[in-house]
Amino acid sequence: MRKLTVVICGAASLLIGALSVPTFVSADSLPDEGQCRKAKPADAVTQGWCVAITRRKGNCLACHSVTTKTPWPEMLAPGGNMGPPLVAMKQRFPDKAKLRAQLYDATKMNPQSVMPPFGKHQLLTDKEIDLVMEWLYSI
Amino acid sequence: MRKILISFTALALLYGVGSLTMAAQNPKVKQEIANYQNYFLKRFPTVPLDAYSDGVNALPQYAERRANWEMLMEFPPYEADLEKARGMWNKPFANGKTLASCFKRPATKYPYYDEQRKEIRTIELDINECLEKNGEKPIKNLKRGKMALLVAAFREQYNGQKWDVDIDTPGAVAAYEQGRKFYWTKRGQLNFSCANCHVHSAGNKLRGDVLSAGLGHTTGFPVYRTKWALANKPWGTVHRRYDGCNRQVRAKPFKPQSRQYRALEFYEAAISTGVPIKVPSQRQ
Repeated sequence: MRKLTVVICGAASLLIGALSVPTFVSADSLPDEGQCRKAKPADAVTQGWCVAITRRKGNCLACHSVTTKTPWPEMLAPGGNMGPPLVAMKQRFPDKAKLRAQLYDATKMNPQSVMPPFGKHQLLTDKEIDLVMEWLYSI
Repeated sequence: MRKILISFTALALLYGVGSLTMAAQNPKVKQEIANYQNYFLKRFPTVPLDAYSDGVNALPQYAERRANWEMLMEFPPYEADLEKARGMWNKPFANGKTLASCFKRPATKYPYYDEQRKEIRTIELDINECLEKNGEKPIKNLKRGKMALLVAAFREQYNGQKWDVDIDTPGAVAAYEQGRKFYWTKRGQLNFSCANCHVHSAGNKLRGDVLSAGLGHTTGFPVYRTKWALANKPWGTVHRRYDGCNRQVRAKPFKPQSRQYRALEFYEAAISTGVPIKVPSQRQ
């Protein structure tokens, strides 16, 4: 009898474990593109992440890889390597205006840059660029 | 002795590049083609010039997925259509003549600059002219379907032969120059030139996709594309691809067989001088 109880308890905890692990991870990981569309995140940093990963918006992952502190969404493919990896943005761009100018029109600093001029060509609104900035300074 | 050997090798290398660009007499054009090709040969030192016929499949960055493509090539999905295309190419007109009667120029010499008409002529234009001259109806759709199949049937006859378009008259050089400008000019809302992706970033990843090298780009056209096969229109001409590329950078595309696209096609052929034709090609 005792043995049976142990087995049942064991099976139950395994089942709970199996069920709860993925829910736990997805609740704690960053939203993917679909989740961004469904529910607008409350905070500016996550809103900026959403602008960055959405294909019709920043589409940053087309060219850049990113390492995030919060777990990566399970269904989101890693970024490309046409541009440099997005790491330590605060250290690399201590002057916020400089980074913002890069997002607005990177060809101004370097005419050879292949980065789309997100502000100049109205790919993103000023507000959206600000949100992406918030996110970039958080990674 | 060693010095002699080195200079011999250098001479052989020089001759190698020189012989590839025999069709370009203009020294500036000749140098540009050599520079363009050497850039890729240096960037991908394990990929010989011939291998660029395989498009993105030739690049080491694509090695993981190359096996998939090779497996697909054991029973190529285009085989049945190609058989049909050969039949269409050889089918006599009402007057008994065939398309072949209009094509005296080998596919390795297409596109070419027509000195009388003062314009770049493509295989597509010459096919339609041939049809009209022989009392047949020209083909309306210049991007896919029948036209793409006929071009494939013509070009595949020259498989393995090195591309060698003529750029030795002022008119041809001017057309080449027009194509070169198109190739290196940023366009569209996303602000990309052809070169931004296919020269500067060739072999790099755009999300999960590897960007193909510009060298050898159109040697495999017409192409059978898996992406297009999903919409049941798998065959496409070079200008169908240009149209798609322009849309992807959010630029307004030009019409197929427009002056702009013909110049671009001519330039792409010129910079791939020496790469063997390999038609049709299957791409993603």
